[in-house]
Amino acid sequence: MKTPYSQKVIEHFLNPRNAGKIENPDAKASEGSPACGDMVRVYLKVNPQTLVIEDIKFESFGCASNIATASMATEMVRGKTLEEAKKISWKDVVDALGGLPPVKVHCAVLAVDAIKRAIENYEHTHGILKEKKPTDKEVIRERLEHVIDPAAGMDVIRVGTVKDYEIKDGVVTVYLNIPAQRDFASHIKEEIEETLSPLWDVKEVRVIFSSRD
Amino acid sequence: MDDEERERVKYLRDYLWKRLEEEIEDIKLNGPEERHPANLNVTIRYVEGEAVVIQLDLLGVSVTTGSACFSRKLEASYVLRAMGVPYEDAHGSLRFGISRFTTEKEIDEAVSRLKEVVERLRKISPLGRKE
Repeated sequence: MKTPYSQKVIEHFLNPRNAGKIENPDAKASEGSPACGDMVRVYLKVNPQTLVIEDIKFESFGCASNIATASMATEMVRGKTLEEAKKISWKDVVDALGGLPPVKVHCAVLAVDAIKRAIENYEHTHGILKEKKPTDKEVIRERLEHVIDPAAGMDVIRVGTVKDYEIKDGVVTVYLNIPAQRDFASHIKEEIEETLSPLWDVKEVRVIFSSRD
Repeated sequence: MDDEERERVKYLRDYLWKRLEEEIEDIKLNGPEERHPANLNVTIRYVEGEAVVIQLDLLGVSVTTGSACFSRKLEASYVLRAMGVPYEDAHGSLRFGISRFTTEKEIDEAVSRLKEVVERLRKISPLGRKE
């Protein structure tokens, strides 16, 4: 079979660097969703003095290019400072892999987004944000747009799984349009908690399901 | 396909499913029991179809998938979707074809290579991990 991939992509796909999980990471972030056939999760260990990424690992539910791009992107940021790592773009990752078919470029975007989000989460939870923007509805919405409802294959804002959300005294409450018994309900709740709880001024995340009917 | 051949191919297809069920955890059959004798469509949970197809191909086994990542339009198989298979399962679907030339030994080989590939991919998947 002729694959649309370069030798380098196949090589990283078959022998991915940094694949696996870090127990007790300093930060983590997920992008994508199993419903989209494309999901990557990144774990970071950061030196608190030098802010160098000392260890990075990824897990992937995805195609060959998803695995290869996560392998290459994590390799490119390992040993870099957080500031240096933030400058690496999806384009740099695609180039380093000797190109990707156009329909697969989003895999590189996903991998780089996950790394950037993990770095951002680290900055939030370790008090090194340059600008401490208070969490408002806009910030919450932006993060919720990265949570996918597996039943619909789209994000929870777009598909209307989330009815409303608010923040008051550091407590974020997210009201859902689905009952707790619906398929994937607990998965969605966990994803929402995971994406909102790292925010620097968020003390608690509450996810409220709709009543049974 | 004459009756005799149909029976033989059907026997091999059922043998393939039996072996897959024995060797691979979290696998399910897509579609009804009554199906074309030369066709078997399964979903292997927690892994993505394109990744499995490419690794298997490199090991000399040819299968195809209804995963969006394998299609040029990046859409999951509309046939599986119309049958009510969730997106997540369509992405992990594999379709096997059996022919009059297929042997039991080849099926055993294919299953053992698939098992190897699935174990490798599940090791790096964030899904379905048993803590």
